[in-house]
Amino acid sequence: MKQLSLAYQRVVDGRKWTGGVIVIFLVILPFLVGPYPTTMLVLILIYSLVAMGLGLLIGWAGQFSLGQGAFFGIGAYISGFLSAELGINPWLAMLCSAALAGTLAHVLGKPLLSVPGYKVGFVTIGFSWLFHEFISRLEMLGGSTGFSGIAHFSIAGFTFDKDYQYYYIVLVIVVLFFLLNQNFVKSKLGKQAKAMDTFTGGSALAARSVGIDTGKLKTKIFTIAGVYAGIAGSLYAHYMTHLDPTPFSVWASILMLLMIIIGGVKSTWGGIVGAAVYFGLQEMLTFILGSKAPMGLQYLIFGFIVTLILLFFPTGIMGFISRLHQRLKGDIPFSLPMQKGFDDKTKQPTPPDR
Amino acid sequence: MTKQNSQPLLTVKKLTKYFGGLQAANHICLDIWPQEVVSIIGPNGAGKTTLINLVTGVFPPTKGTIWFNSKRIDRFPQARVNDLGIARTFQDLRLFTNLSVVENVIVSARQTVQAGLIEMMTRLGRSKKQESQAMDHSMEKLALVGLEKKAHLYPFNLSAKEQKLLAVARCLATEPKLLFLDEPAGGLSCEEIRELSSFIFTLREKGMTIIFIEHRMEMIMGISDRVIVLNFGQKIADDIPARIQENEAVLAAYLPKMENKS
Repeated sequence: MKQLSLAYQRVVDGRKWTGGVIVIFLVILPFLVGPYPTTMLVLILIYSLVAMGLGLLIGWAGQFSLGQGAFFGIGAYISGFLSAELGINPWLAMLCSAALAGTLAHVLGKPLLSVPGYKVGFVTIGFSWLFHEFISRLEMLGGSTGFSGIAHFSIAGFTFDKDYQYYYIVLVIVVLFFLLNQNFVKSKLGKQAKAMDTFTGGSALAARSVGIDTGKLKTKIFTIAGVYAGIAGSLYAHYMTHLDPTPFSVWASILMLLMIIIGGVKSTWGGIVGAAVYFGLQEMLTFILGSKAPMGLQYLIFGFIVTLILLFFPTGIMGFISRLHQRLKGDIPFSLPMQKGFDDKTKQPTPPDR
Repeated sequence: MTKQNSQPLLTVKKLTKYFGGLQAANHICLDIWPQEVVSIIGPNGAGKTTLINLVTGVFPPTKGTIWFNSKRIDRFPQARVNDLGIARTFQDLRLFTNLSVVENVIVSARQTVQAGLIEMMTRLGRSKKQESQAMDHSMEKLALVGLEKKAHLYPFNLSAKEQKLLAVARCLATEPKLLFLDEPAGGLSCEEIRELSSFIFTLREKGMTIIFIEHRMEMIMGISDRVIVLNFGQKIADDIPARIQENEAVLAAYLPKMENKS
């Protein structure tokens, strides 16, 4: 095992190329998989953006939300309305979506997050429900049948209307927000968020005693998650060019939560991995069972697989990978159980300062 | 220490706290003067930690007022109380075990440059300056308590004494004027208590006022300018250490138990 650990360390020490390899892989991916899977890739990236924001909220603010589907919908409907009804440039519409979703999250954040414990789930689910009912009855935007005529993104007269072209737009935006996410986690605010997270070894009481306004910090993170969902919604609207209330239901909020829990709430990669696993599983089941199989059966098997994933990887896939990485690096002995928690460093002795 | 020429730093008037039917603090009145070292003693359940919790804003008092630097603070939330210059440690330390030693201090560091959320997320503008200032400030505080060489370890890698010092360093990073220490000598050896006592004097020389809850009599009698004794949520004595030892109410309530123990 020691030799394995040493070999792994050699690979890890020279891993500066990892990011480059991943980027090259993502750039050539549409050419490797063909047109239909590219549609899935676009959706994976869009949903991963929402899941990424949700990951910050759960993993760093210690709060969960079942209202992200509503913020996703707000982003989509604002962008769609501005583009289809007022003819506003899609890029500007996207900025407006982000600003409005962020502002709404900021305003709603304090009252929503002040609800103690698990009850916040009921409050946010109520918000999601309210939004869905509102857009289903909004005749101005087609009610339950929705509306069309939303423009694709374009730059200097070039319209991104093919799947693979749109894929690159979404990829650039997701990479950008991925980096912003990482910066946040490493920043003083990220550390303060960790300090107040009682689930991983922080203490909200102690955090407040050293001047950290935990309510304000949670609202900030909720706002970030709202902006992420708003941008994702806008990307969705300009990709689909038609909107109706179905993708913004309470069910959508539950799926987004599921994606980040499968991926791992404590990792920036969690959102991307979770969305990829969700859409991958869905497609795989459709392929295996055939399109004529009842939807109930597909959901049954999907639910079973998700249960198994969460049973064996309770900290999500990235949580598992992180623990494996720590073991292979030799920071933690292999003899310790894998499923205990996300971050071993908080639970187990580390080697002497090197 | 400087009673003659100054206003009290902290004034507590008729402070009362009920938890349901239990009266945890009963009309407590006290004045704390700048640069004083005051110890609070009392049997278990006397209301010592409740008093700290009330002053630091963990929960609001049922009745009574708290004034700090002539400002009424009894309805302020914890973070705002800390911003005004009151810091505290906890009996069970409550270190952030998911952060390294230096990060424990960074999160509370008061640096001069304040970067906004967007600056931090984009790493533009003042964010890098804030980071470096927070790091320098934190390392300075760690050096003050002698933990600078252990900055990158995690709190559970430290000894009991070092963990207590880290809790103090975390408070010092907030640049407090008044520091509450909740049982700082618990679990320490006599030699370590002597070191801690001299460290408390160093803090006082830097202009800080220190109030500490303690059970170890050698420390209480050794460094306190004044001793406040609580029993059943009431202040029963407030005097210099030499006289406290002869106070009848104190002897009745507290000291006999100590003697019986020893």
